[in-house]
Amino acid sequence: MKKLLAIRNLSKSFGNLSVLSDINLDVFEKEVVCIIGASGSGKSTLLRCINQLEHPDSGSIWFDGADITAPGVNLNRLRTKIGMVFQSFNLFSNKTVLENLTLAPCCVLKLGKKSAQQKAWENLEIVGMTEYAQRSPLTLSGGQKQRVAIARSLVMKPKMILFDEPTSALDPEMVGEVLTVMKNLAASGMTMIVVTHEMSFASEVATRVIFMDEGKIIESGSPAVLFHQPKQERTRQFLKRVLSSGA
Amino acid sequence: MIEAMHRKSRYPNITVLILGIAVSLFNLKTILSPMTGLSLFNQLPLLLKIIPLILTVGGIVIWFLPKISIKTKTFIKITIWVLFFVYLVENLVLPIINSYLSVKDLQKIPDRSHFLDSMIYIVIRYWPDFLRGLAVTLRLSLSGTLIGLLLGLILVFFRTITIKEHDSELMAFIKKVGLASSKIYVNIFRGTPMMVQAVIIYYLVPVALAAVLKTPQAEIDKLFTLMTAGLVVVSLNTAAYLTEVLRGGIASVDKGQLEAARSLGMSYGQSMRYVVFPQGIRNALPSICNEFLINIKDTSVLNVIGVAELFFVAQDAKYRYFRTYEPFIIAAVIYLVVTLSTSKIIQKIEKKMNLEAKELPSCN
Repeated sequence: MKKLLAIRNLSKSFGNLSVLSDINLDVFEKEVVCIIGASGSGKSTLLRCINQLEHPDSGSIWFDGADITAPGVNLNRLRTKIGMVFQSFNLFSNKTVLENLTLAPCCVLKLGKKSAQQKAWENLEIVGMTEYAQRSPLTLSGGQKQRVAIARSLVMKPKMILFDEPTSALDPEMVGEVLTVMKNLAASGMTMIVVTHEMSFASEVATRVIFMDEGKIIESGSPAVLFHQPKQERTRQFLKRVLSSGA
Repeated sequence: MIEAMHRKSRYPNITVLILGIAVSLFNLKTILSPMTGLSLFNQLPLLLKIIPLILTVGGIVIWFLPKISIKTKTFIKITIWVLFFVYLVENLVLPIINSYLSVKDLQKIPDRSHFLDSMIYIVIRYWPDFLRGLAVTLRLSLSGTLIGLLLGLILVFFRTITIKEHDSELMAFIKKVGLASSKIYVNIFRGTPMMVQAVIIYYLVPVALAAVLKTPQAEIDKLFTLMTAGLVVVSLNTAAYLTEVLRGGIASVDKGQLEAARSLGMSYGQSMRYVVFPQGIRNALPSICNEFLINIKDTSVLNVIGVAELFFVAQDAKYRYFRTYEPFIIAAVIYLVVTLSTSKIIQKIEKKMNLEAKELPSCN
């Protein structure tokens, strides 16, 4: 399998607070990597460094064979290849659902209106939101918003999608519909990095699970191994805390 | 509880009481000092003249009787309102008509002691000029606000720029210059009176332009007319205020909107133009409309360079008819009517937009 992403000695700090220290991570094509860990452990920052919403302090990130932390890299072109789904959806509230999907293809890929709309419909079909195309995102439920957000990142035909706690802001009964879309996406061969608190999703869909604590990768392995025979004491404690609370 | 409500409802509400007192006073006036000219009451015998007073006082007295039905109270209320409007016509509309009739054929403005007559005379003789002045005021304030808004949008783009650590030195320098110049601009134009700006721009800019472009002064003066100068002053001033207004509107747009746009590969400019600015402008819309209202009033300072707006016209009338305050009362009434009706229209529009937003749950 081809190596899509390689992170080497990545560090990031906000002021004096060190958020990521010396992260090394490889992600291969068609992998689904789930990142778990307590809040404040640097999971989200790691994702945001990968598509350069945060600029790392040191280290390098190689995506598709090129160092994207090097000066002079076209970040806008890079970001079309790395989709991102946010915890708070961040749908453009001044646009309709369909316009949310056509805006970036028109602006960035320079597609015509017709072909952008056709692409948008196709992707709304994938997440099952075609009947809401003309609605304002303000009128949608959380689950529907997140499905539209996933479709919005899919229109750019990314090679990889980053999910930043995609179900954390949802009511419990809406988590299922979003996870189903993500499972289908994983089954279709999309490379995904998912920061999540959904342990059942991680153990079911992930090809690899990574446990992070205090800005470091503590342990990494297949879900079967990491969830059932964790080697590190900190992983064990975290899993005990999370699983006993019924998540 | 029910008893308390009943007791409370026995007292006439404050509007009825005030209107009743007004009607009584007006009534006494028609009896004691009859009007000259057209009048509703002058021809009536004293006995009939006194009927409204009896109706009003009687109605309010009846109100206090125990067990008065809602129907009776409504009837009393309506009677007093009708009487009030009758007296309004008698004391406001008819006097105006009377003085119109008395001054319409006069060749000279009436004596100073006839205040209403003088005002009506000025309105009759000078209304086309007042209208022209109002048109100039509205044109300057509307186009000034719109041009100011466009300039403000450009300025706020530089004002909201953030310098990031990984920017190249040249980029950081350009950003710093943009940020600093927009800050300086806003400070200068908000920190000096528009009247002073008007004088400086009107007298300095043509001279400076002629010197820089090396063209004869006369040609520049032909292009840089009074109206142009006025428009430039209002636009530049409005731009400074709207920059701050827009900055507030944009700051209240959720940060995630920009991040989402950037994460799709849109450039900073594209993200601002298609996602952040439209939402920020919407947030700032009430304040932008307010700026237009303020401009309607503030264009009056342009009289200092001689722009023939409403205040200037009033001043003209002052010199023409040798009346010191009558023309300005006319101008004040016109300003008041225009600003109040504009703000009503704006309120309607805002209500419509807010209503739409209120029905919907929040996006984030």
